[in-house]
Amino acid sequence: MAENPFASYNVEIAKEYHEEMKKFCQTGGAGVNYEFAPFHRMVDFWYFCFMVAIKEDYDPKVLNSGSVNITPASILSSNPTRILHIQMSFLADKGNIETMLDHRKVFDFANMKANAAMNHVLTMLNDKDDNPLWMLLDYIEETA
Amino acid sequence: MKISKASIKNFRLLKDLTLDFSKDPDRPLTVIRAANETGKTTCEHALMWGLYGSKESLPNKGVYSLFPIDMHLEHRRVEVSVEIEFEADEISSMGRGGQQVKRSSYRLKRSCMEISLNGSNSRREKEIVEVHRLAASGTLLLDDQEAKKIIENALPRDLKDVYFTDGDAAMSFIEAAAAQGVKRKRVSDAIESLLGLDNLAQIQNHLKSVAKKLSERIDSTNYGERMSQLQDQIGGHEEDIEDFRRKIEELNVLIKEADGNEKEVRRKIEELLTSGDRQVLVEQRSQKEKDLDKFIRNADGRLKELSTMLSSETASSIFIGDSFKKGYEILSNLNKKKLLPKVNVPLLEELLDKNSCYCGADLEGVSEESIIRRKSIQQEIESSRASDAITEVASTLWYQIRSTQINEVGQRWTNNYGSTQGEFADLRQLEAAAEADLERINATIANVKDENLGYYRELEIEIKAKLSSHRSEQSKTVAWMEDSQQRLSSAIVERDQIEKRLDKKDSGTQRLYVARKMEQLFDGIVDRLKKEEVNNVSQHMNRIFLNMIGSDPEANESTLITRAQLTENYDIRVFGPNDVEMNPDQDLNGASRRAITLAFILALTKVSQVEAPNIIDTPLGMTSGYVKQSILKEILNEGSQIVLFLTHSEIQGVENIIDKYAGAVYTLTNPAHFPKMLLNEPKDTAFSVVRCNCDHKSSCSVCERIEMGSV
Repeated sequence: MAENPFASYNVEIAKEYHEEMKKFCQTGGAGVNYEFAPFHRMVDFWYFCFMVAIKEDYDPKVLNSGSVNITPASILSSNPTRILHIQMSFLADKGNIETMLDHRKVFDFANMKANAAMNHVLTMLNDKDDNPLWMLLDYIEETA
Repeated sequence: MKISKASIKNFRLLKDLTLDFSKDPDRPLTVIRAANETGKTTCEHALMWGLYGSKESLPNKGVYSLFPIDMHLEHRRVEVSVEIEFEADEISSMGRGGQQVKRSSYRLKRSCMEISLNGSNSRREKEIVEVHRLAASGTLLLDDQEAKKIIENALPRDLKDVYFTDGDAAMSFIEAAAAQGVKRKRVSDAIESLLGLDNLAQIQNHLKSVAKKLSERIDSTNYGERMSQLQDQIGGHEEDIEDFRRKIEELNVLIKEADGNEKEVRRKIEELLTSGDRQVLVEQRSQKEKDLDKFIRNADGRLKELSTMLSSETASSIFIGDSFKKGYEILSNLNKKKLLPKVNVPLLEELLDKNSCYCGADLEGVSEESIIRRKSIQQEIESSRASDAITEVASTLWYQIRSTQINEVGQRWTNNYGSTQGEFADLRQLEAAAEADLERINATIANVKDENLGYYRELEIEIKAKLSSHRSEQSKTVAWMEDSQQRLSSAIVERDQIEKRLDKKDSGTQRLYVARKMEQLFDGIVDRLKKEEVNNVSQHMNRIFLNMIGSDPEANESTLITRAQLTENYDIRVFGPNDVEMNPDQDLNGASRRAITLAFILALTKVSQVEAPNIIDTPLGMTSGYVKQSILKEILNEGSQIVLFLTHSEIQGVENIIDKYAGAVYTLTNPAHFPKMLLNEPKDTAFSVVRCNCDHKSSCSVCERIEMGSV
């Protein structure tokens, strides 16, 4: 397993989204199938938001002090690609390799990016045109 | 005979009812208006009971409670009575063969005590009948013998079913539900009653016994005993054969009924079986449930796969793609500048461990120059630490990304999405199909009524057993009858031979010969009488029937019904154009069916030449328009006194005829019909039919009914 430079940090989201987010995660106690709660874990939801923010080029949104720590970032060790993609995104955003030395900043960047897209993703998930899973998959397909 | 009045007390729901009847020859009709459940049939039963007593007139051979149903709790015993006043012609002898016909009035009263048993059934005691002759000089109580004679002359009991008619029950002469043998028997019973064949049968038996006695007397020494034995045997065989024939006929009816029942039960079983075998269906359901479960699980699996595609490496590559490329360029430039991996600190530290540089310069640290060189390397190590950390991060990233294929990830993801989604859609279709199948199987299972199947199978076994028993009984009886027939013909042959051998001059033999000839002659007369009277009834029936339905085949060749006939075999037949036979029960409409049965009954009364009231319950049911009017007119034409129990709807359309011919019209009402059918609350709530004098066009607070349209 690759080294996880973010292992000592936490995945955080804004408190205002926490309850709403749980509805769409299997581990959040949604109690419905994947069509309606398409994310297995909350960290998957968080990462999806991060990806959307990168694609949509949202400015990072600072998390206020009341943010919720949903899981230790050590969980990312099981998905090294995500670590790599966070780093690459950060590098692309900053354009300077030297900034990569501060892992805290890199991970803050990831948390803030995810926070920035949270509203957009929740809006897609709550869209009545289709079930949440299909809304997101179609969104990816359009993006691809 | 004409009935003047009847008073009925405590006869079922007729607690205290007086009926009076028109005797006016110009207005021979009495109409008793009564809705259903108002005691019309009970009135008929009461009149018949009054005339003939329990056994002859009440259903179930008289085992029929007369006790008013609502009086069981209050009264242990109640007196039931029916009093009938009537006129009848009395034939009295005038001496020297002369006779006088004199019309007299009578009052008949039959009464009994009904004793309540168990609060619902009752027992009858002390049934007595008294007949008084009413004369200007006073009343005279007749003895039993004379009373019976008066009643029998007035309206013979054999004809009671002809004169007291229930319009619906009369349909039994033609109804399809009855086997042909049963219908034929009903018609033949009516004809035989009409002809008084009971009396004729007595005469035939008498002639037979005379012949037997005479045969016993002749030539007792030689052939007398044998002749006597033979005569006994012949009589016995004839009786047996008749019994066997009757039994076979009864068994035929039973077999036909059981056969029909068996077919019906089989049809029901097959119907139940076509809805499915429960065991097989349950297995099918179990399999289908497994399939459905599998499809649901597989579909859920596909959904899970699809959900992982949301934040999979490929999806991430799609979203991060542009950033990734940017970062890649940065790292690539560093690599191109040979900065990756360029780590100074380890190399410099390695130099410090050595005594000389790669270029050969002294680094031992002894000489002043070597000490300066070592210090310089040490300083370089310190200054390289920060840049090395950066280079390490960049190198790590570089080595990770340089083998990463970021191109065409979109296509890969889309392909994967397409195939997984396709599999999911297929599974959902299979799931829907399996659900539909399961629903169908469950519905079929719900329709399979095992209890009914079991019941019908048991019933089938029971009917089969009955059928088998009837058939075996029938074949046994047929065998016995054939045996008796054979024995009869042998006995007749032997008797004839003995007769021939006997001295023709023997007076005993002569008398026997005459007696036998008389017997044969009488049989012939009875036979001919039957045929003639049947033909007579047939002709009257045809005439009355065609009038009733307004059919005139001579005036209109295209008329649908051309004639009706009563055959010698006692079948009532109806014919259409070109003399094509029609089935009265199937090819005739309701009104024509009622017309043919009433025509048959009226023809019987016509042929009987008995003057008696025709008391008919519901004669105009199922009829309307012309046929309804003409049925009523024909009844009036053929009868001398007509008493009709009519419902309100039967009266509709014949009011003008009632206006013209009715000498008495009144209404019976059952107070129990309030409030559903009667408009006004009855004053007396007792469970009893009441009479008011409202005619067919009027109503009062007692009989006013709720208009059906306003219900």
